Amino acid sequence: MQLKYSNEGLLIYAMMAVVAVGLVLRVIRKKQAAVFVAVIACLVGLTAWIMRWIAVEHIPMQNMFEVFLTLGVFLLPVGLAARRFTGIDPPSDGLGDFILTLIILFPAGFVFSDAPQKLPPALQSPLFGPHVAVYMLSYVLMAKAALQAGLGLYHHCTGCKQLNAHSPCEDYELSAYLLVCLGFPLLSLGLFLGSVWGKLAWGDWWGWDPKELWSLACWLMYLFYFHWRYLFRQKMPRTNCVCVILGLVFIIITLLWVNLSNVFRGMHNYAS
Amino acid sequence: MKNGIYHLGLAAIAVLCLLCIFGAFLGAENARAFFNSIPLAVWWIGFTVLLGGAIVVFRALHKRPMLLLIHAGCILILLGGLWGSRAGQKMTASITDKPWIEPCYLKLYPGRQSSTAYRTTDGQPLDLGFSVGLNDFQIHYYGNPVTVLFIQSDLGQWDIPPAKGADYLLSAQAGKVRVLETFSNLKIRMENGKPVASEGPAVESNPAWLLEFVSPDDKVTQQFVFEKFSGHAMPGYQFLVTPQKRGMVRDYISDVQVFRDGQPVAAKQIEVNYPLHYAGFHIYQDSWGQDESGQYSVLQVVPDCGVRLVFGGYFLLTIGLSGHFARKINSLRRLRKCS
Repeated sequence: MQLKYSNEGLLIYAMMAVVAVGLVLRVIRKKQAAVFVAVIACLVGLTAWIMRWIAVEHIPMQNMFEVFLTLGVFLLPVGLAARRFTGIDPPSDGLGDFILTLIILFPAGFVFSDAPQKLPPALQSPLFGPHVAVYMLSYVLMAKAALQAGLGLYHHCTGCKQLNAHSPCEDYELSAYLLVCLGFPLLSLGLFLGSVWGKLAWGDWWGWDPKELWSLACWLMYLFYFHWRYLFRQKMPRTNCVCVILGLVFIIITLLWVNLSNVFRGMHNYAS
Repeated sequence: MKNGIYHLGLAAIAVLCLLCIFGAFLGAENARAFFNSIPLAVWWIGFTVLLGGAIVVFRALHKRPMLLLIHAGCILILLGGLWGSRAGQKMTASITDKPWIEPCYLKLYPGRQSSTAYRTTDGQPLDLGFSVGLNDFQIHYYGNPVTVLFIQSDLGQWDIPPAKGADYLLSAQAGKVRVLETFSNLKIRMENGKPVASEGPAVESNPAWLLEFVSPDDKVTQQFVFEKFSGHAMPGYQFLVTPQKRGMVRDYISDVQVFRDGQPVAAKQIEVNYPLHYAGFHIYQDSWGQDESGQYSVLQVVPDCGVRLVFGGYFLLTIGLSGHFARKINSLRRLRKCS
């Protein structure tokens, strides 16, 4: 835990403060004002992101600090785009974006080191940006899906007694499904781009590296979810929701544990 | 029957997912061995057959071209993986009666060529059937690299700055060293039967250093070190001294030419991320090093078995997934709006 006094660090704290204000406005149902504040938060975050890009002279997606900064800055606009694209607009969703942004910005602001790093030769590839960006985008969507799935599970316990045609649980389950439908092609594309890049940089399109295996486990988890849901439709909404949440658990392991722990040594250990 | 296959497929995905998690705990090398072991080879073939069977049996797939593309893409990737594995390559070589060349390394000095590579797995030499010549090898740094004099002997290794003057204590056993002189363009002439060193004409350059080693028993020896002839040694030299550049490497580039039967057949400036492709092989910039014969480049030679199938699979999957899920999201949106 350390405070950052760099320009980017201070801007991250400023963004967190603005997002917190947005969250409060959202809770007291000042929806218009919340959207306005969200735009300001994004502009502050974007300034930090661009300043970081200029300072390190490459797209800021190299280490954990930069990855979490990118995730935090782009979560709100991606959330908005996902709402437009899927037509999902439950009252919880905008609230969820504010909370997720705060959760994601926290490690960027207080945990990970922001020491600038030069790109080693292997990372200087035209595939670096697309590979990481596509993964970030899909992770954000999967996180939002897991939030919906979590709400689905919660409402299943509390509110499904009244046998409506459209229980809130089913609604949340469908929202989660839609978001996974949007995120899964991107997750796959990230995996493919990584594999092609691996072939060009390391000589092999698959290296059995712990991070590669965990990312394949994520992909297979969602694959299982699609096949399971095709078989049982919405007959078992709780199991569907658990699959989506497990998918996010695997993603978090892929993103964090593999990079930070010594259990999985491998070529992707760039964050240590 | 159909239901059985579907359930089997569902179980197979779950098992593969668990296998991946298990493999992640093994580390890359052990995981590679595990996933290439005979029981797992049987598993991979079974998985591919199951997927193929599913495509034949499920008529619903035939009516949805995007879903068909997705499953066909998966089969291509699995086939490419089977073909590209060690066992797959070995089998292909025995069927086509061509020599089987495993992934191997080439160690090349600038201006030389070689057709002998060394196997990655056990370092055994093998003949490539073509030779690779290194015209030039360059290392590019971020900013200006710092030059140091790297001193090696049986007693240890040390870096010292190449500036004239101060004494450096290497260790109690190895004694002391001092840079006596620095030359940007060293020339040696004979004076009264003795060699005398001085600065030569400014047009050329021959950076060199004169070092003085003092052993613990006060024996003094002098050594010349040349930037351009890093392996330079004379009788009585106890240390191997090589000038080395230290800094963050931006890129390293090998200017390479491939010869078959003495004729040049391919050429490229190989960089990290930009390999040379020739006759079923990719040749990569792997690393570099320096020894008594000077700086050398290490190139990795990898056969490209199955890579096209795998990348073709990625292509089909990308198209299939985007098409399928775009349709899915659209229809679900419409359904929601109606309700």
